[in-house]
Amino acid sequence: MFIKNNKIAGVLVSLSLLIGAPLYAETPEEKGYNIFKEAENRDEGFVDNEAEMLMILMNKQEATSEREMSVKGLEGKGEEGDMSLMVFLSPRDQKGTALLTHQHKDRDDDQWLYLPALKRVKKIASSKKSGPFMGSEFSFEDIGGQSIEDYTYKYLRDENYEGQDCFVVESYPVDKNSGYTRVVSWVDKEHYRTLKAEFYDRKKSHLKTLTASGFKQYEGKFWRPSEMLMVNHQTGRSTVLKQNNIKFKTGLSESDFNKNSLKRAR
Amino acid sequence: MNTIRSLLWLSIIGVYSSNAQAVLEPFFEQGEWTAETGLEYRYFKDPGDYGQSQHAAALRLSAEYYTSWNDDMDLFTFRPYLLADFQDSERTHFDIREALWIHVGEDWELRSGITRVFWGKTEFINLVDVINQQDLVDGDDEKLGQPMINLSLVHDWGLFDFYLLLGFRERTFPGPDGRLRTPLPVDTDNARYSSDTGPNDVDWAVRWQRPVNDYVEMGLSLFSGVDREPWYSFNFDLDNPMLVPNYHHKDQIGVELEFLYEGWAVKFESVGVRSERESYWAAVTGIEYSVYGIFGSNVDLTFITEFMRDSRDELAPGYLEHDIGLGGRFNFNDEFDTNMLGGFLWDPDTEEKVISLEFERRLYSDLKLEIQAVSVLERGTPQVSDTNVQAIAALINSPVFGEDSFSYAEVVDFLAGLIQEEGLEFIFDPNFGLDVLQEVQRMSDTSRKISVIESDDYIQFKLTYYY
Repeated sequence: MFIKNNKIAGVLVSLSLLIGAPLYAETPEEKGYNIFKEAENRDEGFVDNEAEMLMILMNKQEATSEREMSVKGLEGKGEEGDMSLMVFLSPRDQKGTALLTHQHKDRDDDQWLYLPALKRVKKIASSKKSGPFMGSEFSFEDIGGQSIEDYTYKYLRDENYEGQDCFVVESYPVDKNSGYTRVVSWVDKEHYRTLKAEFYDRKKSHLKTLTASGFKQYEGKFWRPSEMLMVNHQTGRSTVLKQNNIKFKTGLSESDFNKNSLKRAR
Repeated sequence: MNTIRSLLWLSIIGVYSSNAQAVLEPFFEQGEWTAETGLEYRYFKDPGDYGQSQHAAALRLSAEYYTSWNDDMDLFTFRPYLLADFQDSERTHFDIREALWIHVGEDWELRSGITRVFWGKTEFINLVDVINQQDLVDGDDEKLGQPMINLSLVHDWGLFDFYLLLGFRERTFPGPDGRLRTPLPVDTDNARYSSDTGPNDVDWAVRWQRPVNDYVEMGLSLFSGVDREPWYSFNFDLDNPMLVPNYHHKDQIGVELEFLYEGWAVKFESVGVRSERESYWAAVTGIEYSVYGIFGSNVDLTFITEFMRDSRDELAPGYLEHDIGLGGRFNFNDEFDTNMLGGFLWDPDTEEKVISLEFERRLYSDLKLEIQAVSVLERGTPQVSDTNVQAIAALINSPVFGEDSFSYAEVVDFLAGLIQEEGLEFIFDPNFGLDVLQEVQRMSDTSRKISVIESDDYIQFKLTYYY
């Protein structure tokens, strides 16, 4: 009897989901997940993209060094994860150094690093997540694409951030190699863009804050920030990441994301 | 052989000329030049055994021209390179590191021209890495450009590379005024080739790489061509004694395996070789463990342990015939890309111990500093007969002293010459005598290779400016 009732309840829940009118209250966990799921859905169908990136490393308020990169991405088909290829253009001694990533939804990503001086392709361990990316305040996990399964979520509250209505959602990394215990994100209600995020380290203290600005819409659909600022509150250092010349649907294919293309990337 | 080579070159030139206009036009329109200048200074702890200087300076000049056309489906890179050494004229040389045209297809690419290729997984030694000749005078990891045609296929079964290697490059060696040289200088102008080989040899190689599962990658390779590692013979010229490099044909099969899991890496490389002179196998196995962010810092530390084994034992050309290598790599993950690598090599049989430290850091946006220090803590002694008498007996009984030996007369002449110069006592001098006899035996026995490179302690500073 009890079992039967439960079954009925289950059918009711799925029906309500189909209709789209919630007959029951979403838990904060479900609401948090659904917000990020919606953000992911809105970014589906980008097919491929290319961009030029400039990373400015700063000590307090003073710029200390710059790095230029060019990035290509390919959306994964079906159950396949996305692929990306990042090449360093400067500093000059790093020119040609390139990083190829094959994301996987069900297991660790594959990553290969190309060292042009030795002409050597090295596979790198995916557990190197929490370390800084090329000396910046961004870590590998901030830079590398993330899939929704990498976190569990909890909706906290609604809040106005810089004149925009936002959801405030807390997320918790699943991977024990993550450098974070939780991330608090401000996601705007209109376009589901992450405008701000606060990162808490393994000691649960506030480590970094990311703010994204200068959003532009591409292909009538995809929002991308032209500038991201990551401030490390514990060291006072910060990194600005600027994106230029963002292009979508440039005709990239899987053959632009293998070990051969890694070696000739420019 | 020659006909095949001419035909090959003709077909390449044919490709070029039929598309000459289309190909040449973009060369000078959208190409991009970059360049680097490097200054190197080496300080040796002791003066050289043969009177060479304790100080050595060198200049490196290199430029790169890159252009692409046809929507990046065709790429061309040209990279001339000059190393000028102020002490050792043999070290001064020019090389074309790269002059390569890559044509990219959907799941294949064709690379034609001069380039360098890396094969392998391990750290202390890469046994399978066989395509390019080592640029020995330049450094351990440096290679000479190799002319080739390389077809690379991306297939569901993995990555297949087919190489046709057009011509053979001879190894570079330090001259009499250079450091880190052999006791007798190498006569690079008079290299000898076996009848199956020659400087114009066309060789081939194949490599197949693929992931085995989520954690393991493998590689399988074949090589048939001139052994990049020469054998040495003595020129039997007492006025100008030199070692003559002898090149032979070899066939090699190579295996590479790499297992990555969390911070762990297990690596393996092995080769089986059959050459005109010998058959042997060699293998290296390594375990690495990485700790990311040691002591809450940004510094990553990787511990490296590798075991090397060569079935030729003391007849192996290098000194890594049965060694244990221990290393630690510090990656500071800072904005200057600071890196440090410490390595320790130990041969438990000969008690050979070598330690090396490397450090690199960018000083300004376009200036990079590299420091390397090498110290031989314990010079391994080859295992030879205990007494001089036994050594002489062994020498006289060795096959080279048989009456039929082609070098019999020359060795006797050489010994007689030595006795005349040094007196008969030198044979019984416990230090000098045995060394000389070993030297003579090494030189007169053309079936042996040498691994007696001067093992000095030195520190090297390298400053490179990038344009």
